[in-house]
Amino acid sequence: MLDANVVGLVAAVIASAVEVVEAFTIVLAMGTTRGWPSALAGTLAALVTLAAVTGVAGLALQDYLNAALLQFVVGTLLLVFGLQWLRKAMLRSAGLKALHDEDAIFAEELAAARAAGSRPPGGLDPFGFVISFKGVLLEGFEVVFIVITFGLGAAHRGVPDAMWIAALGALAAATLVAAAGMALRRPLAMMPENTMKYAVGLLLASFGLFWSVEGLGYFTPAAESLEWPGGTWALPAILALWLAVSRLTVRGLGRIQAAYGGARPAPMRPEEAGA
Amino acid sequence: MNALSAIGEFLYDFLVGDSWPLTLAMVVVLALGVAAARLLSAPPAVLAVLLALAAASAACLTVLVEARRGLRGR
Repeated sequence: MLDANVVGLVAAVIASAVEVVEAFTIVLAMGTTRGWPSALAGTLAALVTLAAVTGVAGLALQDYLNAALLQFVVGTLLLVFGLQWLRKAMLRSAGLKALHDEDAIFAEELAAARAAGSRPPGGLDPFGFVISFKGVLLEGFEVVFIVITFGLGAAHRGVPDAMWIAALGALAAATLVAAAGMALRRPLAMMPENTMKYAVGLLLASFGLFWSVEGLGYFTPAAESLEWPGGTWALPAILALWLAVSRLTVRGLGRIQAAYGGARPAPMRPEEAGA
Repeated sequence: MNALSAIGEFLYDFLVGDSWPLTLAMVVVLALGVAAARLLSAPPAVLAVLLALAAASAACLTVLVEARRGLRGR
């Protein structure tokens, strides 16, 4: 039998690595310009908040929702969330959206930090703290969301510690990427971020569809999860389906682009810097 | 009020993202799935496969239509 939990752990690890690359760029810019104590304090405060959210939300949802309904809710959220990642990856593959450029984002963050004025003497710098806190929190929420949803889905399949395994996997990936970044002291622009996002989008959409359809069983008279043909072996088939559909969509996007005179992507705005 | 609207905006951005039609398309497909599970006595395997194909087709069409509309508007 295919171990869906391992695939879920892989998705959480890749997603975590991608998000840490983005958060690290912001923290590095703040540390360089506004001082490391403020940047690291903001990062630590965000990590504590994220850990609290993972524990409270994950355990509360696990204890209070019917198993099939939980699968439906978690699956629907994962499907919607994963398709947003996949859509952006497809637009980037077709050249309709600018590729994520960590060096450019780093330069923008540096300029913003320098424009914020001089640092107050002594104590923490509020600008460096808040921007680091916000950057790590926002990027981290996506990882927390993935960890909670995978953990809940796996817990339903009789693996109660899945959430902690996914959380530890994500934390390990985050630590490794951050350590590599600290050693290099520059943005991790060499990471194949866009390819990794494509992979995560495919995994999230696959798990989302798998669980949301299983959870539809809640609405049948028996109120029990539906079974896919082949059980968990349906997962690779769903993954192949999303991969095939995404490649077809990229090809279709290319044709549309050609029909409208090969329009190039607009420059990426800072608020689009996320997934 | 500002804090509430900021939280609402964050949740919308987080879950719905840049493309509300894509989210709506998935909600419609799953709503049809709920209706089918409640009202029809189709075998679960058939329902699952049909929903997978419907979700994939809806996602593909939505992204293409949105992109065409976006390029036409430039």
